[in-house]
Amino acid sequence: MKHVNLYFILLALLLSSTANATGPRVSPSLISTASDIYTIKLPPFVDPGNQYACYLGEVVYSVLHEQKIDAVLTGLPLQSMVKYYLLNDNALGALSPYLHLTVSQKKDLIIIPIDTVNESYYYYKPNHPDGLAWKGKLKRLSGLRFGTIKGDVVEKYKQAGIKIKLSRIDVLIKKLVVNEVDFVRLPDLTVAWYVGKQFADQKDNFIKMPTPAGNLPLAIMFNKKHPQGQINADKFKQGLDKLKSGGQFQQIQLQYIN
Amino acid sequence: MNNIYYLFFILLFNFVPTSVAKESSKVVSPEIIGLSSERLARIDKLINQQVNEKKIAGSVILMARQGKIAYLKASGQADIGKPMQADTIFRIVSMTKPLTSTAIMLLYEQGKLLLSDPVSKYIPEFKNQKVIEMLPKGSGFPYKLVPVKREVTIHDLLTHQSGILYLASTGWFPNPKREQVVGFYRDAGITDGFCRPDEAIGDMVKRLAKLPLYSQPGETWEYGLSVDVLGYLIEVISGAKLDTFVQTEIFDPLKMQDSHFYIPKNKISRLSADWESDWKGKLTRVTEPLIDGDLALCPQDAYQTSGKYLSGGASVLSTAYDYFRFSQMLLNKGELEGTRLLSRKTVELMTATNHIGKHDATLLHSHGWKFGLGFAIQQDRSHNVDSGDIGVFEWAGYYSTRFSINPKEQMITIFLSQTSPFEAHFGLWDKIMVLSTSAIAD
Repeated sequence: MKHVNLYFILLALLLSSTANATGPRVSPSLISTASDIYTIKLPPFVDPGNQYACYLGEVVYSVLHEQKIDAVLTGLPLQSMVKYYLLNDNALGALSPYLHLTVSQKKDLIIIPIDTVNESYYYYKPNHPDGLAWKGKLKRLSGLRFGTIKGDVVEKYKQAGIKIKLSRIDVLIKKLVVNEVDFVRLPDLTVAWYVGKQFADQKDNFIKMPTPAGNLPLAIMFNKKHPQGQINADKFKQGLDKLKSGGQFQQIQLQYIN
Repeated sequence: MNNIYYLFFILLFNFVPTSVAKESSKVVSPEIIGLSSERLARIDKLINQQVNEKKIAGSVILMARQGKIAYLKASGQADIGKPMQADTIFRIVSMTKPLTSTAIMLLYEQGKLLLSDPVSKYIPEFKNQKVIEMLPKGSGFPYKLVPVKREVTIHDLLTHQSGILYLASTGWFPNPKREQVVGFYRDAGITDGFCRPDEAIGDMVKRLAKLPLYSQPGETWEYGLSVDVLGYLIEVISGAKLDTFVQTEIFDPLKMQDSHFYIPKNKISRLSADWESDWKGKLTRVTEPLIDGDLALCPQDAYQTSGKYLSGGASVLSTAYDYFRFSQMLLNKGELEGTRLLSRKTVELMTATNHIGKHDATLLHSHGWKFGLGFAIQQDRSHNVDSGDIGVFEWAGYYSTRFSINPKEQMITIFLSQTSPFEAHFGLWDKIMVLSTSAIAD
């Protein structure tokens, strides 16, 4: 009788769902719960590979953390993809550099300015030993090749007879050196960063034209179409104000800008 | 003093044989291994005809059976005024892929990865990938991006089921979806690895990971940059650069002395030129990049003696003899001359007839050819490729190189040329395979 009971118990164990279940061979959740704020790479302002050690990254994460906003900065290699996720996929938000949105594209976005940085035109001295005659009138650069990123507004350059060469930001400096473009327009700090990384031994060969090219606004944009867009925008704005009034913003700014 | 120099040269030339001498000394009489010399001579005739008609500039063909080389012939010229030699070095391009796949399997055997591992476990940029879906004409936007149903695994990369493309595929199988994905590749500076850009492979792979996949992982067979991703994966997992890892773990143990990711200075003179042929008698030495739509070939980059770019799918330069040693290791199920690289079970896994289910590896072959872990494998005879046997595994390179391993007949055939365009040599290759197989005389 004892044996019969033992067999019964063993049989029950073997047939039980617990014994049969080995669990599905699938990885944990494919999608994290945090919402994405998309951005391209523009060091030293945005560096998705090093998010806590770049200007905008540090500002944005300080505010997200302080305001308990469940979001992450997600780097993409193309501005067009940032635009896609923001405008077609209703992503929570994006960082502004080089998105060049139209007025109608901006109507569903809440844009919170963070800072503005100087942009300049640069050329590579060995390819132009006599310098480039830029004094504010683009026509003086007619016939030359302007290196810029896809999606940039280039009408004024075309009208001035300047040829447009499209490239990625991270190779624009290399294109100057190999003489595939004559000049580029980038934030001064970005040029310094790439020259430091790629051509540290010849930084004196990268010449900044004296007349400023303009400003690049740095902003975060929240999407009204995202369920948390408006709420998170309000929280972010509040958090950014606190960061500025508390002096932490200026500390971060000093760390990267000066 | 002069006598010392004299003695030095005597020693040098008597005790350090050149590679050619070394390779030639290993060739045995075909009859010893069940091949017909008379029938093998038909290959001479075929190649001589191709060279005389200026369809190809030259080639090296190696045939081996039962571990012994029975045929090693260099024909035509390697460069202008330079005859082809048995030890001429070739851009083997996609024949790099089986080497990289083998390197992955070495890490697999060390317990450092599982083939079922998601790639994102090692390269976080592969997390949360998206797949492109084209929208009907007239939609406000041409496409949408949808989440992957499951993540890309290492097995997907080995078998080209990741949904990652080659840019050049727009020329092979044009369609709007492919054009859209390749458009992303172009804008993001992704290249096929046939040129050597000034960046580390990891930087390119990280950008690639953020671009949309052509198809859901596992749902199509698409030949592409998957093995370049594997190359970077080797760097991440092993902590060594890809070239260093392959050198120490494959080239050195197998004594592949003339295989390199970047050519050493002292071997530049042994590197074959690349030739462009119209296959009608016009043969031109290539000196500039060959651009055809999205296909970009930079044969001159092979003369670089150093660089950052290490493509696991395309960078290796090698000789017929070296690739024979690698092939023989696979044919021996992981061992060569007492050195065991892989276990028998791992090679059996790599060469298992079908790793791609209902899909077929139709790029170089036809329906009925499947894909293992690094090469195409013949599954049955219901296809229109003349050559081969069931179980034969082989692959090729873009400058007209090809290898074939026939486990049933214990036979290896290697054809190395440097002729573009690639597609034109299919017929020649099939004929070489027919002639080599029909030389079996036992």
